[in-house]
Amino acid sequence: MQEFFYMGGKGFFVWGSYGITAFGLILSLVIASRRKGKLFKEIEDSFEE
Amino acid sequence: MFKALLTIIQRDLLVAFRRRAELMNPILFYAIVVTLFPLGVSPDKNFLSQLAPGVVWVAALLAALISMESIFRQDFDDGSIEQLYLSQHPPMVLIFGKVVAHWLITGLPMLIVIPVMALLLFIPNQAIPTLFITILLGTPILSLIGAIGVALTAGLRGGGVLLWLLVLPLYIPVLIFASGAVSASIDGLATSGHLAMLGVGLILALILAPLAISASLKISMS
Amino acid sequence: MWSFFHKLSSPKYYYEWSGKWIPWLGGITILLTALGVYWGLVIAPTDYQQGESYRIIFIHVPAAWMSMFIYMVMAVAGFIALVWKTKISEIVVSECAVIGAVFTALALITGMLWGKPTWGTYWQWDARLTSELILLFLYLGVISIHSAIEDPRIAARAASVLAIVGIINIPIIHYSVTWWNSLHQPNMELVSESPSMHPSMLIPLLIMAIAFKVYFGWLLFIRVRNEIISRERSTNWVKKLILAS
Repeated sequence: MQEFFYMGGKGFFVWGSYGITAFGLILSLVIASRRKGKLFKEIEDSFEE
Repeated sequence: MFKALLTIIQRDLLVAFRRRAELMNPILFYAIVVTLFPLGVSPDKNFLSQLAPGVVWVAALLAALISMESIFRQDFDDGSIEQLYLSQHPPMVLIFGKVVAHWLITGLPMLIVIPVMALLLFIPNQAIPTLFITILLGTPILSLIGAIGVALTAGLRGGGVLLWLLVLPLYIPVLIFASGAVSASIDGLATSGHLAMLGVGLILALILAPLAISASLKISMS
Repeated sequence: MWSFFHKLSSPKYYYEWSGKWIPWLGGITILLTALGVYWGLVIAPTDYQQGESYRIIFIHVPAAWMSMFIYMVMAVAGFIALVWKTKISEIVVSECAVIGAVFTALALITGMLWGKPTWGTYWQWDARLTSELILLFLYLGVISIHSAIEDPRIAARAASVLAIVGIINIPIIHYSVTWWNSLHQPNMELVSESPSMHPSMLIPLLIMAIAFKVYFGWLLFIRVRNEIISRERSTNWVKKLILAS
């Protein structure tokens, strides 16, 4: 297991690039779905006025 | 139609010569940018002549862009561009005329200033003819592509910086082939390949850019 | 066929149609990514030349492919937006620009992280990395012209023109950069990113490539749907939709 994370001494580069990619792709999804929530709420609020 | 094209060119040249002082600005700008390089890097003769093809052309891109704004700006604001679209002639042709006039005012003077600056950067004499050809082939491409950017940003108030961001990446092939040709001729190598690419680029730009410019101006007016 | 495309250009129909796809795209993305990452990190053997760091290729190359693929989608959408002036394609242009810029940035970062252990330096003026950097500038240009113009429809059309000008330029830029690179680094012996790969390495690469494509469809649908809701907020069907939720 330890060896797996060590990646033959290249762990920083391998995990760094997988980590950054995962971060970027998931963040994009989170931003998009939060916008949906905000939009729905905003429009819903405008009905009550 | 051809007559209309000539009229547009004549008119734009006339307007430009009414404001002679402004004609000098791109040339001055060019000279100052080039002067910065020896001061910032090194005045060493060998080093500079290696750097020179790149410096000469990077400065040419910047000078082309800084003078670009004036191509449509005033005519756009006072509505003359809109008039062009109402005329019986295809607007693409008339706008092409404006680009030609603009190149005659800002691109052609580069033929005088660039060789002088080349001298200051120790470009060997054998490379000067190649340098002339690259200017003749390259600067019209810069004007044509730059005009697309100006047309897209014409309706915006702070279009200046945006223009640079849009257009500079599109200038990269011109920079590569033009400075490559000059480098090659300094080293005594064949330049026909580079020059042929620049020529192809010019033909492509001549065919496609007027389309994009007139479409962009139309969008900016809506 | 044509009537289907015609229907798709209606925001309401598009919203309903894309809604059906979203759970499927999401599920497939997660499944394929899990499979591809597991295969790439665990099953695939160590490369005899590059060691473990070659495993970065499994995300770097698909991200780079996506960066070009999305630009193509954006330019085609831009063309449709200019010719037929459909609202959906206008929205697709600007949303593609954002997603494409993310993928391009990821391709650059992973490329640098791959370059350090392989070439010994984070940055190399290698033809591919350089073209990718220029591609990022092109994306940022499309994004900034879109955000600079207030009217969303005019903004979309201006961005479309720029996207189309860009797509004509991309092959020229790529060719010129490759050619420039070969001139300036004639003696560099670079380890190629994708030499003829063994199937045990090629399969995870392809899985990740498909996973990224599906992810792109997923994210694009979500973003386009948001934009539709935002623009059509005064129409009846949006009001009904929100009251029902």
